[in-house]
Amino acid sequence: MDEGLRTVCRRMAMVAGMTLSVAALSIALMLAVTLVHLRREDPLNMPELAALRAAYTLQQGDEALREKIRMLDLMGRRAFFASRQQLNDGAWVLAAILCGALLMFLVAERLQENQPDIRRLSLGGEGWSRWYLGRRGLWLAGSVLLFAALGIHVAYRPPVEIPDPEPAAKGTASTGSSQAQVPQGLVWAGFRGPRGSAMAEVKSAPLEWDGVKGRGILWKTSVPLPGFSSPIVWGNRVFVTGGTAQKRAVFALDATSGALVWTADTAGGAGPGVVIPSTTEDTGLAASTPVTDGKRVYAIFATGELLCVDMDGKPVWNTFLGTPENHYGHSSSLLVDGGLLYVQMDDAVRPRLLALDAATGRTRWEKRRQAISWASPILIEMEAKSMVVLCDSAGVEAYDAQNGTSLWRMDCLGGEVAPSAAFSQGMLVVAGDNAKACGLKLGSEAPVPAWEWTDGLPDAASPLAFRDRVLMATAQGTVILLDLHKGERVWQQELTRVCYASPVLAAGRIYLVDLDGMTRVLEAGDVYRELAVCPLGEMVGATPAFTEGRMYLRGIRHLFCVGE
Amino acid sequence: MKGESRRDFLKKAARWSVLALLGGVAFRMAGKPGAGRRSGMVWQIDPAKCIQCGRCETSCVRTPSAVKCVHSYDICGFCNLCGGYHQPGAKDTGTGAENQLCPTDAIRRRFVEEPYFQYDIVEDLCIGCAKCVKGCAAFGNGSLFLQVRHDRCWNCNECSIARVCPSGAISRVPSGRPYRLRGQG
Repeated sequence: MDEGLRTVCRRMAMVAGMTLSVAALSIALMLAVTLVHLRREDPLNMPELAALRAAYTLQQGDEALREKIRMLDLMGRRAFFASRQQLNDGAWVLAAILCGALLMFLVAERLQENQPDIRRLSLGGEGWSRWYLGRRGLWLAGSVLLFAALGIHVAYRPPVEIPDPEPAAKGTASTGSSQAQVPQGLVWAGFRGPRGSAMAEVKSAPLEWDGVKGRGILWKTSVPLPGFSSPIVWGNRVFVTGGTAQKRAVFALDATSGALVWTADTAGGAGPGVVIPSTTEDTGLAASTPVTDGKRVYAIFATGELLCVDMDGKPVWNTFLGTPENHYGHSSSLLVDGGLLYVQMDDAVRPRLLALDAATGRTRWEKRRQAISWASPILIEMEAKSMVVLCDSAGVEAYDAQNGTSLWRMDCLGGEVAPSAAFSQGMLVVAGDNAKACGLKLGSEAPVPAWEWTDGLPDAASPLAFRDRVLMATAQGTVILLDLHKGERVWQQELTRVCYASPVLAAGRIYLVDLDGMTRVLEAGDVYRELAVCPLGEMVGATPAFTEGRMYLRGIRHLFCVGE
Repeated sequence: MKGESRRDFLKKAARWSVLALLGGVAFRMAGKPGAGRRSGMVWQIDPAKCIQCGRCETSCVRTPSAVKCVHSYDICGFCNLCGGYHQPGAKDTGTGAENQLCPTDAIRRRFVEEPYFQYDIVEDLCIGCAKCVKGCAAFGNGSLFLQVRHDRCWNCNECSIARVCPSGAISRVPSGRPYRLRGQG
């Protein structure tokens, strides 16, 4: 090639390379600006659009507002996708221009190849040899490094672990599926404590207090939302639920100080499909007691919203089971055992028992029931078989806790049934104030009716079965102790007020809380003897929770911790 | 080099060809994408652990994210008012922007028969923001959930989403069963 033409071509290639380099730099800058702009502006999540949408929920049918939302949404999406397209296309253009620039520089270098090299001229023979060997050495070292890097990359694999989706349960507490390392005496995991037995596994319990004067009250905390659900305890956390038409939530309180630690609600008010049902004043939207297995807390509300959060209040899963048709309001409490969450869905249109995977909320099995009730399921172990026992308006039935197989059914009740079943020494006691109380002897086959009782029946409070006795707080304001096996009266005592709270046996004493918040501590013997009568100063409809040396009592406004 | 002989040129060409071949083989063995697939493990989201924090959208090295919403028709209620499709509190079930939850219009609503509607994910528009998943989990039965799509995922040695996932929902799973789907037992 002619030397002049070569020089011209080389210069043109250099100019082209430089021009392309400048273009590449400009495009890179433009892409960077676009990226920053996209991240900063976030056109898909404009606060203005969110505000307009919120306003639209209050002004449904406002056409001007609707058009504004649609316009802003369209602009936002256009901006987002246009920016993203720019980034995508720009990256390819940038790569192409860089390649072009590189090519131009290579061409320019090639055209310069025959020009004298100042290094060669100045180095001389020996110098040239060193320069040549050095270049070879550089290539060799680069190749070695490259292969070493590839070798390391191939040889090294980060340790692969597939975490167990449900770590094995370990622990000491006995509350169904309890697993965390919390002493048994510091656990009251659900309605009526361990397995719904209403028997506290504690050595000591408070005997005297006065909620009005503050005597014996360790702390008292206002519960942010109303509810008739009972408190539950796991270690240093006390959980209560509350609900209004605007919000349904679980509250976690510090067991030592009573301070509110966290709140977890059902995703902020009624969403699509959630209807606020009409309930009676003494039921409300949060009558069902939550339950915990030490890993998660589960709560259900009368709306049919079922919430699961971890022990720090972070949502794990939640679901909507459909608003139950229930004329007082859904009040059945939850039960958890062996990784299954049992939900007695008291929906008059479709009454059913659900067993959900506690970790995921997925339905493991579902059984259609005959009728609804306002009672809660309990868990019974019989001959190494775990069964869920629940009442309805016609009777009582049992299901295999694992697979939901119907084990037996006994039609012995009638009317509206709110008391849950009680179990001790192989005897199951069920009661309803419109029918009767029944003692059923459980065995390997269907239960055998042992006795019936009609002279004074409970309305809301569940019977307490302990040793060979059963205690009932009746709708007429009396408390009756019966022989568990024969159904014969041991003693009967008139009270001044009825009880909604179920009686509990703790530290060998019976705790009976009436609607006025007056707790009678009774000797668990065959003679009626009041050990103490303790006022709270608030109406109480919830069943107390017991841990070692403490009692948690929920009043109409406050949660009280009683202890020394 | 001035005066390089033909023999030297062929030798050099042969050396570089072998080097390129070895490099290619090494890249095939260890390079991205798909190293993990060949080693038998891929990244995947456990829908049961996912708390819909939105980081799958922003933390993936790919743009848009390799995480997409997946719809399990097996467990979908085909509801008229859908928690994954409609804004919370929406009274109207129309498809207008004022009612839609998805910020990118990535869910198509189709009438099936009264009162059922089918919801389909438009994957090209889905950015993995999980808003629909959260809505479905809160008010539905969880038929919408997030999954790492392996036709898009580069299967990085260290998944950038897994590093920031607050619930530890992303882990490696055997490539023979690369998805954790709901509604399939």
